[in-house]
Amino acid sequence: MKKYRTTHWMQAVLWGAMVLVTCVLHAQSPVERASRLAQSGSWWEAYDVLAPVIQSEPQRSDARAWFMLGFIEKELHKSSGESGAEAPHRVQSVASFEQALSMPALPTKDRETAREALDFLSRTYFREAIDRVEGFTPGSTAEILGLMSQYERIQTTLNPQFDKSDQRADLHRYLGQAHAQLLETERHAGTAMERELFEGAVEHYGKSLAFDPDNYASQYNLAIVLYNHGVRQLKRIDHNTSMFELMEIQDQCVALFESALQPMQQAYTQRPERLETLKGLMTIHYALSQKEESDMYRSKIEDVLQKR
Amino acid sequence: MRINAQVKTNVRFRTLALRTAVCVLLGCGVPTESSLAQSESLDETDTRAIMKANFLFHFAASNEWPASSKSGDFNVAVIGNERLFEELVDKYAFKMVGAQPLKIHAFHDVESFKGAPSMHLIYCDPGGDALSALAKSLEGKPALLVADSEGALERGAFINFVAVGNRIRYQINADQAREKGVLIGNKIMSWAVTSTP
Repeated sequence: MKKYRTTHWMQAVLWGAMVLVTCVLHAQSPVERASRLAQSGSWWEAYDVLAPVIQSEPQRSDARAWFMLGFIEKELHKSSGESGAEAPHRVQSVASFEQALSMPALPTKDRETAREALDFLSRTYFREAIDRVEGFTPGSTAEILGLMSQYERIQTTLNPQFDKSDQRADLHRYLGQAHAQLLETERHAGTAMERELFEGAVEHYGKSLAFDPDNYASQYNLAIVLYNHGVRQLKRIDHNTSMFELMEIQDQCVALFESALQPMQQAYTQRPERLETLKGLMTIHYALSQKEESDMYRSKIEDVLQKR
Repeated sequence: MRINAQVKTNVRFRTLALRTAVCVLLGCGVPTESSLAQSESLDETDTRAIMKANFLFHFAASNEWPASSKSGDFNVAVIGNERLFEELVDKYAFKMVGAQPLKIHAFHDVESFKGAPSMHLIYCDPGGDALSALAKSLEGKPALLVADSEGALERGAFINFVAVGNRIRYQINADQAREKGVLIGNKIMSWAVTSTP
């Protein structure tokens, strides 16, 4: 009988302890619970606790809640392998950090950490944009520019004086090169895509120069794209080409060669000793039947080579 | 060749430039030459050779040749222009001119042309006295002499390439051609910049 009473008493204590623990847990805020879960690496569980209530008070007005959600979303993005300007966890993470930073109550230390996290996220956009330029396929330009815009927007948030000109100039130059490389493969020879790639290359080099008018590489590359496109048309001349067609093709090519001359001359003005520009000018003048000018650059090339 | 080797560019440069840009941005501290990065390679095809080769093909195919020249191969000689010769061989060799297959022959200079078999069409790159001497050696032969030099018509060429508005066009001395029994076709005449009727 005594033994029965002891067991009954212990069960009562255990039950009471369980009730107490449950009460304590419920007493914790979603932010605190999410924080504990996040600390143990349970990102999804943390997300499930905080995300559904973030728009409800008091979380909505709690800078720390947004800060925590930003971190959780950032980790979920990293583990998800998502990419693209619209990758949901990254977009949400950025939005959460920005929301946290907009609240004066965010402690200084958290504010600094949030800025570092935003900087990290912005660079992932930039890195992705560059990766996509490297594996460029026709039609991916909008996505690349979208990624770059995200990078620039976040950087501007972090630093209102952020100057995007240099990186924009570089990105457009790389896009110009990506278009030009596909053109050179001749995979799209004679198709509408070839025209599109050519126009894309010219457009991006033009934009690069709009951001950085003295960019030597953009000037040189623009000249080469224009010149090579003319040569590409000429190479298609064969025994089936009529005199009339020949004259038409020549007119188109001369227009391209003339367009190539200006950026090549600008490149030359900047780097008068570079053999590639001297050779470019020699070749373009030759193609334009301007023998004297072509010979002048030929002799300059010989001078440069002699000095070496 | 030396010039070509010196300025030849590398397509891998683009990747390097991109990587460098990323490294710089991400703070890897790699010194950048990306402002000079260029990956485009100049197409070194001889554009004038392409145009001239097609013109020569039309000169061969669109004129009326004397009956004595209408059998066997249609022979075209190129003197002093290797790239034009290569272009002709690449695109026009063995194409038919009437019933005659086109055959292209290359000669280093006018001197080496001496003793060559009979030709229908001769393109001579060197001008001056060399051209005059060649024209003289062709007197009485039904061969159409084409040149690309100043005053070539006065030196005996029938057709001379000239630059007009950055384009390649040609002048014709049709009288002289007619004297040799070669009747310059209307199509060829109509695109000439100047011609004797």
